[in-house]
Amino acid sequence: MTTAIDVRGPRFSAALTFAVLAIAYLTSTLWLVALQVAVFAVAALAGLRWSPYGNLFRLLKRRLDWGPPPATEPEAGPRFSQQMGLLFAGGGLVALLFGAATLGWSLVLVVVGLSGLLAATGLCVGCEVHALGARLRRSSTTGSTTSSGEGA
Amino acid sequence: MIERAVVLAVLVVLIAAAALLLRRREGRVQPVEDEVSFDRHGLGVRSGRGALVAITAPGCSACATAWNVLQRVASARDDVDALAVDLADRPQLVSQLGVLRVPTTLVVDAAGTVRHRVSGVPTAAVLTDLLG
Repeated sequence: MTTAIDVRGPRFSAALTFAVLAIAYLTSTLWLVALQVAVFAVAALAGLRWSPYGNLFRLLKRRLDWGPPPATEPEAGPRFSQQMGLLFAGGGLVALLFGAATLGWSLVLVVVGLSGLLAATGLCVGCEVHALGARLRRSSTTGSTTSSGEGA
Repeated sequence: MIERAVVLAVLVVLIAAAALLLRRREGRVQPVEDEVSFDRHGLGVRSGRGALVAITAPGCSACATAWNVLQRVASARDDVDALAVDLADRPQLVSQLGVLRVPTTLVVDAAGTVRHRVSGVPTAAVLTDLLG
């Protein structure tokens, strides 16, 4: 049901996202923003398996022999983050196309900041938001009756 | 262009500051002053033994790393058990201690009182030290 992915994948993708959008901002290059929005759209809508950056990561991993994943994580959190990226970068692109430069680049910079944070620290804010949402939904539906001694 | 370079530089500095802050908080130990009794019923912990409790959440990859550390520490001695509880299953304990982060490790003494909490992935040395 849930696909587990190499935890290094999202960090690699975040580093690329950071670079692409930072260069787009520095040089006011709209087509680079559009390219990033397209990358987000594929990963967010079709799944991380189809992510262009994810596939580049897997290709490099095989070619350069980066070894087995240090840990894996379910796809849901990172995929939610890609959807958030699509929302912010896509909104930014629309704003830029309609001439709202300040709003558009501000939205792009949000993505630059969060992807930079993920690349540098491994902290994925979108994943945290997704996990928090899942916890809130779960605790409101199941209550506190169950207990678990199982491993994490 | 120069203005934008400055904005980007500020952003990068902010990210670096956040990274440093996160690194310093990782594995931070806090004593638990309030008398919080850890309910062991139904968790498979024998009384009269200490416990290391990992508070985890689904989809948290660092929790698996923390759980490995806890199991290693607990299996190296005969007076402590390791157990993992899902955050959502223990809302009372979580709100009583104000746990905001997973993984958080609770160090519980043989009387069942929570003595310390460690946020983030703990090191085996720190846990062994806290257990005494």
